[in-house]
Amino acid sequence: MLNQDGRRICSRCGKALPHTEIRCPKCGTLNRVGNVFCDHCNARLIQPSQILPPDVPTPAEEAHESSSLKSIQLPSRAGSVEGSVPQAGELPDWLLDLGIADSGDDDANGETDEISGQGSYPDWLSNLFDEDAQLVEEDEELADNDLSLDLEPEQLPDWLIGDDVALTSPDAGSAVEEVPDWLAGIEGTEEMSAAVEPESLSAEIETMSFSDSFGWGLGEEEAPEADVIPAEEGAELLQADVPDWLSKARKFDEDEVVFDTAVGLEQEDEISDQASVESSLELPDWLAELGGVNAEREESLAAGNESALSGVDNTVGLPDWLLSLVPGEATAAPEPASVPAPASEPVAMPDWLSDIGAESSGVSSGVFTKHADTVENEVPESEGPDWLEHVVAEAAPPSLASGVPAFLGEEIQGEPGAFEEEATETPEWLQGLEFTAADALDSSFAPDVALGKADMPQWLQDLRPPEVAGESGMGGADTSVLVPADIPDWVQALRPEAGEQGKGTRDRGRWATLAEPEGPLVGLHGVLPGLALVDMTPESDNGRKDAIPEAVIQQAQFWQSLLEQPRSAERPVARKVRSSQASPVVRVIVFLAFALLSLFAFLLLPADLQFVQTMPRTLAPGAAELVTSLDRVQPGQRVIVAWECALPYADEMFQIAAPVLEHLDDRQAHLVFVSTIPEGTTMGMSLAQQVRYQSELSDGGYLLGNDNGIAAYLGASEADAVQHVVVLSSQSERFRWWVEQVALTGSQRGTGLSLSVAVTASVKPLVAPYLQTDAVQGWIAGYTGGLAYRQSRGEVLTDFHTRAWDVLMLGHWFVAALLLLGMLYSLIAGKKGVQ
Amino acid sequence: MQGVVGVVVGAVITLIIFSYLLGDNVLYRWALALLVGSAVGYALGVAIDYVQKWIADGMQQPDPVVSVAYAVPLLLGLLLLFKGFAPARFLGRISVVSNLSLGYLVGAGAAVAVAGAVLGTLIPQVRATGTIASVGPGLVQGLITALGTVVTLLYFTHRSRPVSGNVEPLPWYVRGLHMVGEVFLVFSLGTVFASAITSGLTALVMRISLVAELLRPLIGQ
Repeated sequence: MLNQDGRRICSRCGKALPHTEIRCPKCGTLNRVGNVFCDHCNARLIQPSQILPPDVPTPAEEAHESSSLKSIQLPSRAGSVEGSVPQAGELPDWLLDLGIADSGDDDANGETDEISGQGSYPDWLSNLFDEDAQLVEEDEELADNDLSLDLEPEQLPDWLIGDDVALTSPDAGSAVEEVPDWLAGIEGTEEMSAAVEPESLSAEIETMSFSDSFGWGLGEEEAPEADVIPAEEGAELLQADVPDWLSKARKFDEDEVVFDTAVGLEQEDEISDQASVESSLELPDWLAELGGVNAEREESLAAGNESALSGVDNTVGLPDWLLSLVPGEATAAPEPASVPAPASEPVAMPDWLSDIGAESSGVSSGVFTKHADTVENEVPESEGPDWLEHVVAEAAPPSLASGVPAFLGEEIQGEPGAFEEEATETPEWLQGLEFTAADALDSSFAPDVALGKADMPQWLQDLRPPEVAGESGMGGADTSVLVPADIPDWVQALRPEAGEQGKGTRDRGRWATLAEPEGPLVGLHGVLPGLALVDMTPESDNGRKDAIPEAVIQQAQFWQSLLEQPRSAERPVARKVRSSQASPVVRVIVFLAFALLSLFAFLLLPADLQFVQTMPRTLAPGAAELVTSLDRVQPGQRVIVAWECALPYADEMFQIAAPVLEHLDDRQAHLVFVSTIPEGTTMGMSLAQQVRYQSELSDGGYLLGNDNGIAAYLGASEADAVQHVVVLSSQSERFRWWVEQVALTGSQRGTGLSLSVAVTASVKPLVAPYLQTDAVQGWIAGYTGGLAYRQSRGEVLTDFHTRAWDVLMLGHWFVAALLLLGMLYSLIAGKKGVQ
Repeated sequence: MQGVVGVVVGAVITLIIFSYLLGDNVLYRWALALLVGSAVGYALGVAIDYVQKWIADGMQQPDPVVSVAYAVPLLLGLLLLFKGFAPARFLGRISVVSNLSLGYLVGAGAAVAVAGAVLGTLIPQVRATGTIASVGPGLVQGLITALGTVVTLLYFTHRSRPVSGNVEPLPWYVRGLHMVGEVFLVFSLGTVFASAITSGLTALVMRISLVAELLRPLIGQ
């Protein structure tokens, strides 16, 4: 049998139920399952996200769907398995720092920003800046090689191809619409795509190299339109807005790095001229500055550099570990076969990165000028994501090394339509990079942020160095990156059985309570019950936890919580007992039986057949006193009739009050109906009309203020002549008001105020103590009381009265039989008769 | 004709109410809403009519002093309306002035209630108890009443749970008094339940009697 949550014993058999407890994250108190808040400190035990139905993902679940921590899991398997697939999300803070470019509002503080910016990075990252500078110098030697970076479209993310398609497709407008919003916001792209002739676009596509398209990821070139920015302007902006690490990288570019142009820069200049300068003005500052860098490069290239050079150094400014993770780098990284790669020593890399570098030394060198035919030999095997391995497997054909970028050549020439459709799709992991405006970012974090904030993909999070994770507040203790794991068998064997009760805290060793440090009990030991160390909170340990490392305590708490819970994760869940289909049927049958029985009694039973031989007068001892009390009413005397009966009891009250009103009519009393119920006087007046009240009748009105209204009314001058009050009530509280205020008014007058009462049967037990006092001269209750009043007055009961009296008595017997049957059924079928 | 329509409408609504036997349904809830809505609407109409009459009486008073006396309750009532505004709004921020009305209501209400309770409940109950206990047969009744009161109160004695675990059992005589008090409680609640059933049956019988009156001509009676 399923029991409700929180039950310690079975509601049917009475046996103890196995139960688990929820440990309060704040005070450590074990609470019952089902508690939302801690019984001790009222802290929330169950987060709202856990209360939601499992099919309703919370925002956190949507962001970290694969990394959410389930109920009972061991951190035995990290999330790298699932995290190998790039996922959507936002960049963490530490990665955001890498991409942040200072806004251009503080040009004068460029140097300060450079210094401070560098200082804000972790040491390992700052060191990498210097290392990158050395690498750039080494790469410089490779710049003279006539090697272009050839990639196939399949090797690049779709979003990157889509940008190019926007330039080349005849239906450029529609292609632009499919560009992600953050990219579409760069209006220069659209304008340029609309302005450039198809022929020139094709030429431009041929000239685009890996560095043109991929440079954004390295903090270099973002888009071709950035090239139209004058070099002077770009240089000025660069001083202010480019992040420090990027500034360093740019210095090398300006002086030594040879920009990659496989065919020539003439086509690029053509596009730049047509794209107009306005487009660049609408670009973000950091992006416009990058264009300035390109302009400078183009100038230097046009002046003396040969067009056959395709050496690109996109690696400057990025740590090697991040460089190795950039999409497409693996395919672009292989070293040229003809030129021996410079001896790039792994300088001061983290250990985890050294491991990666050992497997892909060519990548770690940061050289991008490599032949496509050597890609297969240089691909890192294990550390890259799956999609990267796929790219490596499909290396670019050698035919594309003649100047057409590998990722653009074949598809564009062959099937442009299909290529457009595929290329304009943005990968999921990139869609999760929600770029936001710089002013929307937290100013306390980076007041001059130009780049958007986004989450780092899971696969990238898994490859972070530990120190970076610690700095970003997502250290090793963060379990959000864990994935559900199986509990080992040997641990399962130590856990309680599924139906077994957990040991709880009673069996744990407890630390004796320390002496009270202060207060009236200072120096006393054992004032508070001792707690096990794993149950202690920082507030309750009294400093004893200082001797044990926190990590050890956390591990012990984890194991304790694991071993306390039964092997089966399923716990008894209260299910709503599904009412059987027979319940409504039974109810209807009972009702119809009683209704038909009553109807049969009213219609078919002979009039002289009386089931009830008992005289009603014997059942209502107060009826005679009430008659006697009302007999003292003089003709024309004002009598206050307080109608305090609610609507549901109107039928019953009519049968009770009718003989009283008839008696008062016989006494020719002047009735004044009042009530503390808004509809009370109307109901009373209606009853008076039904009984054909012939004497004077008036509506005293609704008495606002409950007992205050009653007191005010009785104290008013219009009630001075009143000597008698009749209360007709179905509510005990209102009845009490009248009794109290009549007694109070009578004591104030000194002459007394007679009070007569007629109440419904339901209220009689509640007001019985008042009926026994001297304050009430006479009373009747229920339909029986009405009949007793008639009999007390000497009336002969009509057939209707006797028949209704019989049916009412039959109804009582019917109800008694039902109660008896229900009791027997419960005894036979068990408690509540529910399985 | 009006009476017949009333009976028919009443019978239909009664059947709708009885449809709850089949479970909660729209018709049943509609009937409840009709009852509650009618009562509230009627109460609102009565209150508005009351205030209108009050204002009219005050304006017809020839004595200005009396007219001002009529205006005081209206002013206090208007101040209470400020409680209906949100605290963030201007009228809500000045709703503190309505505390004057509330203070008057609470003070006057407490005074009236205390005086009425003392003179109408406490003293008469004590006197009645003494009267009952003074006579021979009433003495037994008085003793039973006193015993029932004591043991019922003892039944609700609260116990603190020891921290160490097991709850120390109460003495046997206290447990015995608890049982006696429980018996009194069962009888009291049973009496209230039976009285409620009696009222319900009375209402149902009255309804059925109306139907029987309608059917009586059909069967030749």
